[in-house]
Amino acid sequence: MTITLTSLDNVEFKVDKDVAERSILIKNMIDDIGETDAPIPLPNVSSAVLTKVIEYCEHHRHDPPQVQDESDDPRKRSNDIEEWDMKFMQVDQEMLFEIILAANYLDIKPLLDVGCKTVANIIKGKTPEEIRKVFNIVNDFTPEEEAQIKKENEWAEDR
Amino acid sequence: MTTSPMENEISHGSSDEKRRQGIDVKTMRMPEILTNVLQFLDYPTLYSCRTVSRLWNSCSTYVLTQDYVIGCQDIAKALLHEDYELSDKQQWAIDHFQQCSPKIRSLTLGHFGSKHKFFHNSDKLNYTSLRPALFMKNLLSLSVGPIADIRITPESSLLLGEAICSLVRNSPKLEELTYKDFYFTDLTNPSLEQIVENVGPCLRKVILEGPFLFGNLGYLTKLFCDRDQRWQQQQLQDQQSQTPGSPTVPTNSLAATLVPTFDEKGQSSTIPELSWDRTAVHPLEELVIHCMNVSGPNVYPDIDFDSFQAQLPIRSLTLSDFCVPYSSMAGESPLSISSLILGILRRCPALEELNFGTSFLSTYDSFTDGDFSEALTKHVNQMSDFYDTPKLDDDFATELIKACPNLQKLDIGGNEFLTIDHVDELLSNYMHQLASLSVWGIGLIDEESFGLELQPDIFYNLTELDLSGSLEQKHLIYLALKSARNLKRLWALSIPLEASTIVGYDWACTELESLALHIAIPLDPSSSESVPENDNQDTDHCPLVEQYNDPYGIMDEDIYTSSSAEDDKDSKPDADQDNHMCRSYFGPRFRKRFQHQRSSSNTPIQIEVCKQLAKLTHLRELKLEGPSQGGLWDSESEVECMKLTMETGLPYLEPLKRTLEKLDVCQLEEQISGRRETEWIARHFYHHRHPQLHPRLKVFTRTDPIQREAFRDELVDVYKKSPMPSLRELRGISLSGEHGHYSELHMNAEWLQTVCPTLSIQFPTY
Repeated sequence: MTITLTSLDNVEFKVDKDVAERSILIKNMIDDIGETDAPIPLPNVSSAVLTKVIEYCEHHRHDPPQVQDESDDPRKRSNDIEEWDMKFMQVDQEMLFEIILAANYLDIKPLLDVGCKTVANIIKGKTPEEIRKVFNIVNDFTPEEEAQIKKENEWAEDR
Repeated sequence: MTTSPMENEISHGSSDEKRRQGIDVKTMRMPEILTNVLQFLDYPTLYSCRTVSRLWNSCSTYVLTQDYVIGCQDIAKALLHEDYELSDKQQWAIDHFQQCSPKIRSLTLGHFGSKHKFFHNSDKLNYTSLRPALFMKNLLSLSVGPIADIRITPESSLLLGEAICSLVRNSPKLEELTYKDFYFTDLTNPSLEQIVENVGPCLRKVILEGPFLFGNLGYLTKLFCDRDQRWQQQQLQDQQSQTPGSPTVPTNSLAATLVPTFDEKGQSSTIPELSWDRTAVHPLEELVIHCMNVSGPNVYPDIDFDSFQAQLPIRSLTLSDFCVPYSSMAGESPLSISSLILGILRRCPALEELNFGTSFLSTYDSFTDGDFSEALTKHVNQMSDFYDTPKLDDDFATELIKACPNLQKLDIGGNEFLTIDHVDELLSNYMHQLASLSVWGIGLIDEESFGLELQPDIFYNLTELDLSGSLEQKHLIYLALKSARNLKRLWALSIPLEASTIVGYDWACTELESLALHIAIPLDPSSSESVPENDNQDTDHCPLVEQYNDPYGIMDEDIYTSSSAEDDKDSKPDADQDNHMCRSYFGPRFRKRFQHQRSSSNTPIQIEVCKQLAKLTHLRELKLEGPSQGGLWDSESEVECMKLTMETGLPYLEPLKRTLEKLDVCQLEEQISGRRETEWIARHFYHHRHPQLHPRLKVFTRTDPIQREAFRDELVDVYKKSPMPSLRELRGISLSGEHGHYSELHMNAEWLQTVCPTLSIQFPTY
C-alpha cells in the first residue's frame, strides 16, 4: 500500500506503507484513522528535509523495530555510526539540525540517534568555551557559580 | 585554531548565517534533543558541558548521574569509620548522591578500576548516604561488590546488608542485578536470599559471583524459582482483586517517561513519578552464576532438586568456573555433579543459550600470560593442584540434549568436565541449529580431538565460532573461511595457519567483525605450499610504499646508528641502519632473522595476507598471534610471524580503518612499532578528532616543533578529506628490544601516544 505525505511546502510524497511506518508518528496516525488515500500532512517538515528522511527510511525499511529499553540503557550506548548513515549525515549544518528536528517530530528514534551522534562528534573533546562558540551559547553562569561547578567537576572526576 | 568544515560554517558563516544560527541555537536549546546528544558523549566532555550554560549543566548532570559509581573502598571505609569528619568534598559527594538518587539508572557499589583500587583512594563516602530509604525509582541496574577488607566487622557487614536490601527494595524498576560476594566478610550478610526476596518484579537478568560449589546449584535454582512463583502469585492476586475498568499502567511506558523535563533556564528538572506496576511482572531471562575460586567452607546450603518442582523461564544460563575441591569430594560420587547440572538444566526448558565453560579466555592477557595454549595449560595445571575435575556421566550429553532441545548458543570453552565423547555428541546434535559455538581449549589438555561431520552447510547458521587452542581442528577454520557466510566472530588462537593456505581465494565470511588468527609465515616460501600468483608484488615495487615518504621528519634521526659504508647500497636507509645494528650486537642467527625484518623473500606472502585481511571491511577487532617467545627464537623453526611493516603489507590494511577499533598483535616482532609504522598508524588509522587540542604535542621535547606542527596540520587535512578512522585501541606493540632497539621503540610508542592521545596503547613491559 502507498501512503501520501504532504510537506510544509505542500509537496506530496508517495511512499510505501512500511517505509512510512518507520515513523512512529505516522504509524500511529495510520493505526488511528485506518488505511486511507487521503494525504497525511506533515506541517513541521519541509520537502527538502522530508526527501532526506524518506531516503533514510527507504534504506532502513527492513531493519528490526527499535527496542526502546536497549537504546535507553546508559550502559548500552554506542557511538558507532554505520557507514551508510555516516555518508547520509554528510550534509550542511542547517540540514543536519533540520533532520534531527524532523526525526524528533516524526518519532524516528534511529534517525534521531544518528543525528545526535553526529552532533556529539562535533562536541567531543571541546572546551566549554569552544562549545559555546560552536553553538552560539551565552554563558549565563556567574563567575562564582562557574568556579563552584569546576570544583565539583574535579571532585566528581576524582571520585 | 583549526576547525572542521561544519564548524566553520557556524563560526564564520555564509550568506544565510543568521537564519542558520537561529536554527542551531533553537535545536540545541531543546532539552530533549540536547539530552539525547549528550548521551553519546564521554565523561570528560560531559564534565566540560556542565560549565557551558545552565541548561547544558542540567542536561549533562542528568546524563552523568544515570550511571553512578561508588568505589568499594568508599563504602567499606565509611563502614569502618562512620564518625569521621567530612571534608567539603566528602560532604558534596554524599549530598550529590542523595540528590541524584531518583535519577540514577545504573548504580555500581564497589568497582575495580584504575581510580578505584582497594583502599588507595582517600575519598570516603559516608555510609549514611546509603542508609536512608532512598527511593531509587529509576534504577534499572544495580551492581554490588566485591568489597574486600579483612578488618570489616560483623556489625558493619550487617549494616551493609541492610543498606543493600534497602536499595533493592526501593528500586521497583530494577531489571539487572549483579551481586559479587564480599571477600573476607560474613558471607551470609546480606544473604542472597534476603536480596532476592527484596528485588522487584521487573528483574530480567541476574549475575551472581560467589564462592559457589556444584552443591549450591539446588539452592540457587530454588531461590529464583521461589521468587518467580511469588511474583506470579502476587500478580494473580492483584488481578483478582482489581475492579473491572480500573486503570493500569502500560508496561512499555517506563522508558518513555524517563526523559527529564527542564525549563528554559535549566533550573528545574522533573522526573515523572512511577508507580510500582505489578502488571509489569517480568520473567527472569538470564541467569549467570560465576564461581570464584574457593578454599574455605561451603557457606550456602545444599538443597536437593527433588525438594521442589518449579521451573525457571530463563533463556540464557551461564554456569562458569565451578570448582570441586578435592576435600569436598571425599565420600561423594562424581556422578552427583552430573545430576546437579542436569537438575538445573531440566528446570530450564526454554533455554537457548548455555555457557558451561570457564572464564579463562576473558582474563587471558597475551602480554603477561604468553602464548594462548601455553597459558591455558599452565592455568589448568595450577587449578589441578587444588581442584578435581571428575568427568561427567557417560550419558550427560544425551540428557542435556533432552533437557534443552532449543540451544542456539553453546559455550563449553575450557570445560574439563566434559569428555571428547560428550563434545562429539553435543556437536553432532546441535551443530545444525547453533548460531554460536565456543569450544576453545577442548582437547588441548587431554590431547584428544573431537570430530565433526564436515558438511558444506555445517556453518550456515553460525555467527560466532571460537576454536582457539584446538590444534586438531585446523580444518574447521578453513571450512569456516570458505563457507561460513554469516560468521561475525572467528577466533582461532594457537592454531598456526600457514599463510599460503589462507590466501588466493575469496573468504565466504566477509562480514567478520572480530577475528583472531595465528598466521605462520614460512621463512623459506619455496618450501611452503603453493603461493597464489595473483598480484605478486615485491616490496620495492609496492606502490603504497613508494607513495609513502616522510616529509615531516617527526622522529629524531640521530637515534639511529648511522649505517656503515659497506652496507647494501640498494637497501632502504632504515634497513641499512637495522642491518648495521644487527651486525654490531648479535650473532648469525639473529642476523639471519634480522635481515628478514623489513624485506625478505617471504614479503610477497605477507603482503598477500594483508590484502586478504583488508577485504574484511566490517572488522572491528583484529588479533594476530605469533609464535611464543620460545618458538620465535627456536633456531629449528621454519616459520616466523607476520611483521606488519610498511614493506610487508601494513599499508594494505588501510581499508580496515573505517571499522577497526582494536588491533592486537601478540607475540609478533616489534616492527609495527618502528618509526614509519607508528607514523603510518597515526596518519591513516587514528581518528584525530581535535588535533588542535593536543597540548602534549607542545611538550614533546625530542621533536622539532615546527615539523610537528606541519604534521599535525597534515593530519587535519587528511581527516577532512577521508572517512573517519575508528581505531581506539592498539595492543601488543612489542618493546622487548630483542634487537637492541629498546629506546627507539619506546620512543616510537611514546610518540604515537602523544600524537594520538585518545588511542589506548598497551604494550608489554619486561
